[in-house]
Amino acid sequence: MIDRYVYAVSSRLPQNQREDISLELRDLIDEMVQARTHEEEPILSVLHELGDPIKLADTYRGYGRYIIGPRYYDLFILVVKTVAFAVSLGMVIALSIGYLLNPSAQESFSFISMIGTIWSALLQAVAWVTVFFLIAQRIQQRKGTNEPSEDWSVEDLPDVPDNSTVIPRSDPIASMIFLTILGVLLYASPKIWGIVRNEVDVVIVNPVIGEVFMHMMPWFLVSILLDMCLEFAKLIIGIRTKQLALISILLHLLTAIISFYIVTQSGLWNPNFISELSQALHQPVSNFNLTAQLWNRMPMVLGLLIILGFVVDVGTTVKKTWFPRKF
Amino acid sequence: MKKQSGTEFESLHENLSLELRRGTLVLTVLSQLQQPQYGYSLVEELNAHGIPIEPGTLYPLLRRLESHELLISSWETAGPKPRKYYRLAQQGERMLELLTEEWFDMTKSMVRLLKGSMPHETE
Repeated sequence: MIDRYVYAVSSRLPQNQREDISLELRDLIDEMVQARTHEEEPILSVLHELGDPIKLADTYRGYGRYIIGPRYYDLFILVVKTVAFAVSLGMVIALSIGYLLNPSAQESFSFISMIGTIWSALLQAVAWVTVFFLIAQRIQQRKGTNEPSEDWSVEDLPDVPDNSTVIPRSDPIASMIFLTILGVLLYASPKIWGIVRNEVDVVIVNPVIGEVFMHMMPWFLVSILLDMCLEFAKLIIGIRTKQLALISILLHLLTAIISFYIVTQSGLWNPNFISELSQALHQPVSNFNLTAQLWNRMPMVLGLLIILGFVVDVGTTVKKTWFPRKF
Repeated sequence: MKKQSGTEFESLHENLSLELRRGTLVLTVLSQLQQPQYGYSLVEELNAHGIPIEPGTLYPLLRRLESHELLISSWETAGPKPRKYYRLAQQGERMLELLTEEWFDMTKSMVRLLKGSMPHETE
């Protein structure tokens, strides 16, 4: 019985302390038992007095074991709720758009499978949030206890936020919804886009080259994920800080470069799109002259749009962070 | 055993008095470790002085003080079983001095404070 008790304590402790503590604990129990030989069940009463082994192990360790400790609990719940809301709304919208663009794939967009997709996306989102918090928690525990830190100084106090620098909570939430929609549409796009119906049947004409697209997909998803993290940080910090603005600008520069490269350089677009389209619709290529012109210029236009979008984004970020009230 | 203290007031009292004693624990332990002792002998000694302490509290505390380099430990293997002895490290002695001084200052002030608040005490 003593063995079982000692094991129950030591198994909850860091490896390098186990042996030491086990020996010490065993010695203690022996001694306590010897002091009570007049009692009927000395071992039982000693173990009862030492109390719950889990608690004893906690006392040895100096902190309790949490996945999410008390310090982060409220924040965790807030973020989980927000992310869950954003992701499920984003999914509903994205799936609806997918359905509208491509009702022919009706079977695969059935109500039940839609619920299933949303559910698994929700689980994913919550799992990611939990992983982030878990890491934060571990760092916290390594640095010390779960109590607020001692080397706190007045300089650490945030300024009372000026109303104009507060990020309204709806801001990152809206962005998260948008990013979810974008992610889902991109991910599902090979199935959604590139489908043209003529009078007879459904023909698949792909504006992009599938292989290249699949190749580029991880880059898209990574930039979306990074952006998600940024929105996540905005939600938690809640104020426009200079660091946040710099990180945001850097991140958006990175995503802009990635998207610019993908759109203009990667050979993503299907050069035979127009001829394939004309074939699919049983119309001569000459009918598509205008479309063809647009098509040829599209990478350039998209590239310019990306640059323009980046410039506007930097402008608004800089303005909102550094000059919140002027202009 | 004594857990069934009944009313809420009594259990609150128990908590508060436990908290009061907890603050003095480090000083208590440091004061008794000028000579090396092992955990259980310390428990018994403190008990004899009217300071009950649970081994489940004391043992982890000893380790923590050791990790802060206030105590030094050594395994004594001469006896029938190996046993871990703790005694004050140099830093521990200094700490004991400082804390003792503070303790006396504090009790002086507390005595003054508490006497003033006792309405039945007539001079």
